[in-house]
Amino acid sequence: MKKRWPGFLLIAVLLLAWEVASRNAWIDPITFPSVSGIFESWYGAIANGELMRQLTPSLGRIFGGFALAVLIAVPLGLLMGAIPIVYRLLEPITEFIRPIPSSAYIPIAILILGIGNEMKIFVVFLACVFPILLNTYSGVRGVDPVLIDTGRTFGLGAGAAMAQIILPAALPSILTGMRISLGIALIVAVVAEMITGNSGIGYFILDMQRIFRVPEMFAGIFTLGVLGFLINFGFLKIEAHYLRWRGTSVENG
Amino acid sequence: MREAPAPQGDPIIQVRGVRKTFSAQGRDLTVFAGFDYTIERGAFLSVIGPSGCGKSTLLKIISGLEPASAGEVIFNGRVVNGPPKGMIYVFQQYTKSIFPWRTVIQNIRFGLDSQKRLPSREAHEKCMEYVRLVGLEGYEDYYPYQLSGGMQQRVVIARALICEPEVLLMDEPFSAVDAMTRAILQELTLKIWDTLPITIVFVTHDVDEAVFLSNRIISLSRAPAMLREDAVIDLPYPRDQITTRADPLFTQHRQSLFASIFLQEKEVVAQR
Repeated sequence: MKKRWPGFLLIAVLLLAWEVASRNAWIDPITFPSVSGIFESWYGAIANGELMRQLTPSLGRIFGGFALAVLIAVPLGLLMGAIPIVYRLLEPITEFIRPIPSSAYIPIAILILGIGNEMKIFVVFLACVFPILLNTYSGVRGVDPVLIDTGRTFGLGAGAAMAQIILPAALPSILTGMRISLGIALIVAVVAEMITGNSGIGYFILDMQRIFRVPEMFAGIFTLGVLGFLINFGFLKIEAHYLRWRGTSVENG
Repeated sequence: MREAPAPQGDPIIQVRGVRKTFSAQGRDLTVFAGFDYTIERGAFLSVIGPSGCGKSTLLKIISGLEPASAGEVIFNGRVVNGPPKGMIYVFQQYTKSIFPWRTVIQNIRFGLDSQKRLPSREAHEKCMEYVRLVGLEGYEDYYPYQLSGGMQQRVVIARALICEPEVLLMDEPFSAVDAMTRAILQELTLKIWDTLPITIVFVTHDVDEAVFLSNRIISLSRAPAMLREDAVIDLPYPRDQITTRADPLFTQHRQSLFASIFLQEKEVVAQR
């Protein structure tokens, strides 16, 4: 963190420049209200509970969809990585579905699941599944054969080898997939909320724009920035804890 | 103190008519075309030969990690069909065989847990016993990345020994550590063989190492590998780096083995 101060200084300088430009009307103050005004609205939205009321359902969708994806993709990825026939069976379909942007599924998801929470969680889930799946099976396939043979010479059965050797050896890759997915989860949840529904931070941003409460709109966008930063930061901490045996910092990974 | 096994001793491993052929890019390479050998219980047998001759392959076939194309390996009277209980393979690439996510004591605990479940306190005590045996006390909570190569190899050896195997198969275990560490690990291996009721099959390309450690040495020819030498090394145990290597008998064994291998090798190269 300590070495990042120049980056934080740059953010402060840019915000200050924005403030000055807006106050002197060098940029359109309606579209770009002053930063102090945005922070005031931001504080107001936090104080009156509006922001939390919108953030809570979003967080539920992000972590709900993400958790479901982890529960499905990690075991499936382990099987795909460890059992060649499962890999050959599922790899082509994975490669076909994976490049489709998950926001493209929103229309079908609406048809099947409606416009409620289920649909949003499903879309987040779908977006999160592939990075985790891909990183899990490639992590498993990358486990050194010597490690597998070590398990065999100690008489480990398939299940024990999976739990005690393959899973920990593939963990760095699995965690990378999970971290990528969390970033995507945030994007997809916001898009889904903007397209339909009446709650969530994505809905809030769009709603504020429609009723010309531009400072509140920016407050929502800034909230997303902070949220994304915190999620990533927190996950890196978790990663560093579980991968402490690697000895190298994963902070910048 | 142990001496070389008597010629009509108790066989622990019998290699019978083992054939092994690898296919790569449509070409077949026969590493063994019918290989026979019997290993006596309690032996310290070294297998030497030029690199690529199939020493490691032989060890892998004995261990059950690699199937033979034909023939069989008998261990304690039973045909080896997959890695049997009572035999542990120590890999040349210890950095790839050690579990980097486990500390020293957790790595050793893996070996213990693979054999039997003990109450946690008892298990810890037993692991510490092996930590001490390989001289790693004070390092038990270190992760492998914090250890030198020699220390990592000690962990791998302790992890194997805690299983109390009847046979330890060691594939060039000290080829990747520095000379001083190698000398120390060689003495450690001898100490272990001397204290425990164990048979060691040791693959190496280093004639000195083989003579220093073993009471029996076989040398293999280039593929398809044939038995070229089968020597009994009658140097007395316990051996140590200083006096054993200064023993005229050591030099004599070393010279005759080296000469035989070197001259044959020279012939092979000349024929090309």
